[in-house]
Amino acid sequence: MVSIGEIAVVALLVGGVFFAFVAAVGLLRLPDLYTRAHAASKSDTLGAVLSLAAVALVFGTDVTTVKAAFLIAFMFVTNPTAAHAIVRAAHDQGIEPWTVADRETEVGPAAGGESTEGTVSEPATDGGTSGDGASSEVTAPDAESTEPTRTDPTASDGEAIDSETADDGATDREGAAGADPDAGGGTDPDPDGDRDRTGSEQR
Amino acid sequence: MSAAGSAVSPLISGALFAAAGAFVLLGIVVFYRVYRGPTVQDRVIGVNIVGSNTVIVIALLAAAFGRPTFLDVALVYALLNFLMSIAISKFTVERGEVF
Repeated sequence: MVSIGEIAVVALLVGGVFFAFVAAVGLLRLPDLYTRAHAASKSDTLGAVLSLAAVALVFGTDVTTVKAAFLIAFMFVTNPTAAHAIVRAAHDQGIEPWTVADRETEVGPAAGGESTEGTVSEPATDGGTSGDGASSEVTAPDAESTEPTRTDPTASDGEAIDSETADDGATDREGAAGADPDAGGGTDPDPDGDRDRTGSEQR
Repeated sequence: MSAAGSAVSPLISGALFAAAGAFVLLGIVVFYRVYRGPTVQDRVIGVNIVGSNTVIVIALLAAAFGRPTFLDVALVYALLNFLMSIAISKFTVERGEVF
């Protein structure tokens, strides 16, 4: 026999895992820092709150439920605050947001600007490898030239990952950040060079 | 009272363990962004998400094992996670890209 409390706990857990999954997908798939922070802060906060509500329900009428409620309130306040602070730091450093113009220069006019979000990254690889028009052949060398520098450290990535980097390569800051996977792999080749590049493109 | 040491029902503990495993898997997936993220802030956001997932895993295991003291660990971990994010964001504003 299954009581109502157990059903509520399982439903809250399923909802929490679902929203955490949405946050993870958004963090991996979205094109730039600001959209990633958007997905991460809201979805992950909701997933955390639902899961911790399930924990509070499991503990039932006890003093520890108060602890779980504290944890819920704390996560609810601090998670968006931390995301806001990080994004504000990024804005102070001059990192430009990803815009529709970046997507159109990357994808090319042949792919059309009105494609849905799911197909945004797919024409990037197709347009990069086989352009059908003269105008898309203009954009093809750009994609070819940016891709090897970006995918060198992690050349064994999947297809979706490559298309995402093709998306990223459109923005100005990504051109400067093309050496940053090196910084991730090799811990720091030259931090000053990175900062100089971001500073130079800022002006 | 019911949580002080007595186990919860097998259905609930199984669901809690499954959710904890799912959160661990999602944390591992998010680590791709920490490894890859083009900017420092991408990495910080990824680490923040991994940290909050860890807090949830600790809380879920506290409920599954019926150990309320684990919730104290989760509270401290959440506080440290928040402080880490704030400190790194302030630090990168002052010093530029350091990582």
